[in-house]
Amino acid sequence: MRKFAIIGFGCAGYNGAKSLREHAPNVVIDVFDPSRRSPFNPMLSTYHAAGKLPYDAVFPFGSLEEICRALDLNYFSENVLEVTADRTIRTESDLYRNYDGILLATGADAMVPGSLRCSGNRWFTMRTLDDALALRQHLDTNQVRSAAVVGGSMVGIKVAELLHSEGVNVTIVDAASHLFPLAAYESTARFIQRQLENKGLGFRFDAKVTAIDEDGIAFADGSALQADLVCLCIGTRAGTRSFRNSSVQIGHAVVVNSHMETSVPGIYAAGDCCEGINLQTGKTAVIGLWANAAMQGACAGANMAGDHADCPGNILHNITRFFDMDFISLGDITLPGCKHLFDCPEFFVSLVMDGNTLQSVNVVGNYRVSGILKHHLVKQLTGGASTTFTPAQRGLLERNGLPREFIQLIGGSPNDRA
Amino acid sequence: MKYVFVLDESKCVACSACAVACMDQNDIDPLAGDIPFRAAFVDEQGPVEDPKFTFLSIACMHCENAPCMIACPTGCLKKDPETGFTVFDNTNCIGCHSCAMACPFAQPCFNDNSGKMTKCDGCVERVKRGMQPACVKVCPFGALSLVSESEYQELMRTDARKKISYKILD
Amino acid sequence: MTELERLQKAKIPCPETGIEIRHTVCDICTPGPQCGIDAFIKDGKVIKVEGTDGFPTNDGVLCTKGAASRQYIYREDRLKTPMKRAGARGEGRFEPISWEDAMAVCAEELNKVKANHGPEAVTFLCGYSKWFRPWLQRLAYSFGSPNYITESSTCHTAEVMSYTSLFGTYSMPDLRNAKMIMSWGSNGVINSYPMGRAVLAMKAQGGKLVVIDPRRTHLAVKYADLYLQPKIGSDAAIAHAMAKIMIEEERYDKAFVDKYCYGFEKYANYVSHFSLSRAEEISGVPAGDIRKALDMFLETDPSTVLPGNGLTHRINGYNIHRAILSLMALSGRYDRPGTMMPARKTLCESDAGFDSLEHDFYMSRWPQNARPRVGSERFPLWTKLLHDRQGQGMDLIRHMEEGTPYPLKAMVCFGVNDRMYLESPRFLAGLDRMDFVVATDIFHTDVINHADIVLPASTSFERSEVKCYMGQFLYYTRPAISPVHDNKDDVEIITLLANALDLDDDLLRSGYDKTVQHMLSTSGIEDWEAVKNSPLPVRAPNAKRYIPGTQLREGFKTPTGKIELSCSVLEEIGRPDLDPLPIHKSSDDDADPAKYPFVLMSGARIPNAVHSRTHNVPWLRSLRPNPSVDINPADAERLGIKQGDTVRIVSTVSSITVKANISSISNVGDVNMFHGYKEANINSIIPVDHLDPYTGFPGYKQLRCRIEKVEDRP
Ligand SMILES: Cc1cc2nc3c(=O)[nH]c(=O)nc-3n(C[C@H](O)[C@H](O)[C@H](O)COP(=O)(O)OP(=O)(O)OC[C@H]3O[C@@H](n4cnc5c(N)ncnc54)[C@H](O)[C@@H]3O)c2cc1C
Ligand code: SF4
Ligand code: SF4
Ligand code: SF4
Ligand code: SF4
Repeated sequence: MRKFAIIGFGCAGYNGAKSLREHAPNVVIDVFDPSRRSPFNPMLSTYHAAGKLPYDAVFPFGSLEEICRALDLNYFSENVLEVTADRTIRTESDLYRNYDGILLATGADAMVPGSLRCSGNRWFTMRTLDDALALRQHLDTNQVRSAAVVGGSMVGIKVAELLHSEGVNVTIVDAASHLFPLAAYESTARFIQRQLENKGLGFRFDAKVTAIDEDGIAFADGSALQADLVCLCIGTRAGTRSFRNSSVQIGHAVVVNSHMETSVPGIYAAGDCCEGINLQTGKTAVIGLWANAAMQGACAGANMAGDHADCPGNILHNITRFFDMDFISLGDITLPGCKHLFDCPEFFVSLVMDGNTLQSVNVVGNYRVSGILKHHLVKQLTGGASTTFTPAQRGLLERNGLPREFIQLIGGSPNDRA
Repeated sequence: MKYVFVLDESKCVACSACAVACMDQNDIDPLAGDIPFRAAFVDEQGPVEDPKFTFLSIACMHCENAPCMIACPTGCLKKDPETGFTVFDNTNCIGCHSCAMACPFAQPCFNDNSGKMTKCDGCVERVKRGMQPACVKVCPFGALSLVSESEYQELMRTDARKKISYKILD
Repeated sequence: MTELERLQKAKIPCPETGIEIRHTVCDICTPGPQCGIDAFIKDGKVIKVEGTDGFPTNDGVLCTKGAASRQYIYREDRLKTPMKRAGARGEGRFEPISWEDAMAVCAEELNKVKANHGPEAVTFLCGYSKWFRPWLQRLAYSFGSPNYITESSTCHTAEVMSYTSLFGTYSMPDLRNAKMIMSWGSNGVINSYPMGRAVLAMKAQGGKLVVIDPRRTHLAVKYADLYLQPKIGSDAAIAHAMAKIMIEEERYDKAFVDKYCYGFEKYANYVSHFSLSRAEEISGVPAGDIRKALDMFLETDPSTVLPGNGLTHRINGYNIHRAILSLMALSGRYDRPGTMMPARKTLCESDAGFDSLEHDFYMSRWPQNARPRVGSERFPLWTKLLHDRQGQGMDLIRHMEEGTPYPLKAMVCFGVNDRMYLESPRFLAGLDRMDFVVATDIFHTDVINHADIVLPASTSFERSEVKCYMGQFLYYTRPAISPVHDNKDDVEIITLLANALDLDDDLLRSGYDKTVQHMLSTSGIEDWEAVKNSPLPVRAPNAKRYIPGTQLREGFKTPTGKIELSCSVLEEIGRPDLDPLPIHKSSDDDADPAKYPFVLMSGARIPNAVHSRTHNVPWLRSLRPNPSVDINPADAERLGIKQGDTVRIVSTVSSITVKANISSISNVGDVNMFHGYKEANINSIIPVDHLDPYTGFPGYKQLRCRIEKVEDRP
């Protein structure tokens, strides 16, 4: 009987195991994850910490026992410390095993540069369930009046929202010059910043943090920001430590092809620990998203079972909802082109077109158009730049507030008219 | 039995009876800003002298590998094993709108003040009891139908007329 | 969710949920289809509706409006109790009063007017609703007034006049048996879907469809084998060119014409002036297309025209309609299956396969010596041609303002809508000059605000009524729910009024059940309870299918006994401005085309509305929230107008402000606007005398106007 290992049981690991089981009913599947919890959704950490979601609800696939029973998995609650090219693994308890196939799905950890590590108990990160529980407990047991959130990212903004809702005075600090530096055009970021400033949030940009201590944070220019609490949200680091000896190719994360296979035959990777193909650049990159992890995991699982599944790649995309505002970002905002804006009192859509090709989009306040625009962008990359909207898409976009001329601009064919 | 919603474009006149039936079935309140789970519209393209009109009625396509379901961080969306419809239980919905960005058809709605997702559930309880979905039942021109997957395959093979199902984007 | 909660949420009718189905009919787009409704009832309230399976008109389906029945019957602005005016007329302040007191006031005031000014000074005015009309008409006549006027003054009667002047009786195209249909100004799929379905069924069986319509309608773009887009009001020229070809190329049915038609020579001579090229010049339709349409019409037998109601909404509309009908006579397509067929009306404009006593029910009470009814002198053809003696309401505003030939002093209104009247504010001002106004309505309309006494009426869901259906069906509904408020149905109210006025009319005072059974005593039905208990329409024992050819055999009910290509009644009237022939003439008003370059067409149906009655139904309103005018993309581009921009429609008398809907449903140079909106009442900008001199019908569908872009202030 063939034997497989899934290393890391988050979204990618779960979907990998599920798909593998569906495609190969009779194989042995060993799952390794030190958490002893059922797959957790990191995105729910701030919701749980804010008391908006009960504990059980942060595990979207159900309880560990049920999952293991339904998928017939052997669960090992320990870290895998090493994976070698001959598909042997070594765990914390010095267990050595050889497999026919391995899925690396170790996700990512919150990034904490050594220089910012500090001893005290007033600084936090936000990735794991334990992070959420720790922050919650701190807020429940301490008077927190002010907080600094380092990193104006999607995670940072959610943490800021959570703290703000608890009555904490929040300042967001970032080395970049504006919010969401990887996802938002500067104009979008400034708009969002103004909205948040109106709600009482503070901002400090172009500010390089050099140290975190008991009083708050210190900046490279010698200034300091007093804060009762600091949360570091400056990004993630792919969990690739254990694979260094496996000879799989590693860039920022484990490099995979469109079958989710690494450079070593039989070893696959999925989710935040890997870099798949970015359709817009053609290069590999980490696209750390829940749905992406799910699709990659499912694809890897199928291929491990001997099927031929394809994950042609993805684009950068994100929807974040904070302070009753939706911010949607699609595509690589650094790509060149001509900027267009549709602005009305309820929402705005700002985008970059290179000729007839849509490059990137920012939307604030209109989630309903986001799915169609995203699919258009993807389809254009897979089906050619001449891709036009279907009548259904045009109708839905118009119905959801985009003017005909703008729809025409994004996805009209030369013969069409607005 | 798995089902597919089929719109026969040649018969639809975008009268929106289906949308109204959906509002009646699901107690949708437009005065509160809510919208029905099905929408009909006319699309007009081409030169002014010889315009080309398309009449459509669109609701959830109940996609096979439903992108909304994959995207939902809390597992609100599921496939109903009996009908194949994309159904939901929004108890744990956090209103993140991830499903909306994943959906190629702008279907997930956030209709009431709760901020929780709702959408077309295919009138699953009616269908399970042998009734037609409200929108299918009302259509004065028989443009909308719910067919079993095998009937659907048959239809695609034998009927060259333009039909819309979840393959609409292709 | 528990299983029961799921059932309840899905509104599944079953013992567990306590949801039960009761049958009724939809009366929103009255009177045509009146589709069968399954009302889902829970705790005495309608929680959902569906079409009744097996029902003759709809067989399980509903249109957009009918599907919204629940919100229609529970509209927020329903009248909830009888009221009497507390503030000034138009102010809208009322106090509730009892039904008894309301009736006492009505009786006293109406009898006072009668005593002081004569019974003619009281006008009995009816809006769009049809189901109670014979009763209201009898009430007026028993009271002694000839002034019974309905919305049919603008809706259907002109068609009836056209059919009657040609064929002696109202007629209808037999769509079910036709193999080719020339749909002329009719968008059946939207304005009456059972008719639309009949057209589509004909197509599905391999039939051919020609659509002639200035609007690029659903029917035109989806189903037409050939589409002709004439300039608004040019239709008679097209019909005449077709007639000329038929006559000159001897393709008309000579035997039929010789045997059955009157006035052929005159007519033939007149149409001989309409060459194809002249028709093309007038209509903008390529000559070749006109010929092609005619070829298709003549080469298929049976074939028929399907003339739209809107054809008569032009000031030469009666002639346009007659010109088109003449093609049926010329081609011998009358009283044969699949062509134009004589139509019968059993009750309230619909047919159950037998002749009733309806006409006799009210005409037997006709006030012999009364002064002439409203409009009768101004519109002599109306007066001479029509059997049922309604007044022509389009003369009402003038009559109210001038008080000639005698003053009008009181109004008894049933479902009256001021927005039907041209320069509508003048109608409301007229009401305010009355000594007394009593208004019955389902909803709190603008007219209500101008009444002294207000009486709340019921919807079809709350009442019992008989409705007739083509195919010899008859249906007697039972209330699906009890009255939503302290309202009564219209016939109950008429009965109360008849009693309060102490009219010498025991039959009318006996109420709906007795009177309707009296009118339908010719049906052969003995056991009316059995009819009431039937969940689906039944066939009356005396119902008979019409045998095609009967009319041809028995002769036409025109003065000449023939199909009149030249109207003998008009020949007799002999007024120079009223031509006996169906002449072509411009239907424009005399506004300067340079200042008013667009032609406005109003009133063509949109799927979510019938007149004004559904504008306040949130489900329906949400489908097209803004009153908007359809402008052709080419015109819009020229004027710099974009989708959704605010524009003003300006006529010689007034203007309204609406949103622009850019669509080539409107031809270049035409604009198209739906009516009945409170905030943008299109009829308020149509001059009050923009009327067809033959029928008195308003020129809703042809008026010069200007479109101005309004800069929205940020
Ligand atoms: C606050 C926050 C907000 C987010 N918001 C969004 C959002 O709005 N939309 C979106 O799409 N995505 C969002 N994300 C990202 C999304 O949650 C991740 O992309 C996704 O969870 C990745 O899944 P994964 O399975 O790859 O990794 P993880 O969920 O990180 O799972 C990895 C698992 O591997 C285990 N593991 C690690 N190392 C080892 C080892 N050596 N041996 C064994 N087990 C190991 C870990 O314990 C963990 O259980 C957000 C993330 C955070 C933190
Ligand atoms: S009811 Fe039927 S015809 Fe009308 S819009 Fe819906 S699908 Fe189209
Ligand atoms: S909501 Fe959208 S993605 Fe989900 S099944 Fe329906 S159409 Fe597909
Ligand atoms: S909005 Fe609700 S249903 Fe949609 S993805 Fe988020 S949690 Fe799931
Ligand atoms: S199936 Fe039911 S819920 Fe879905 S669109 Fe139709 S009526 Fe609405």
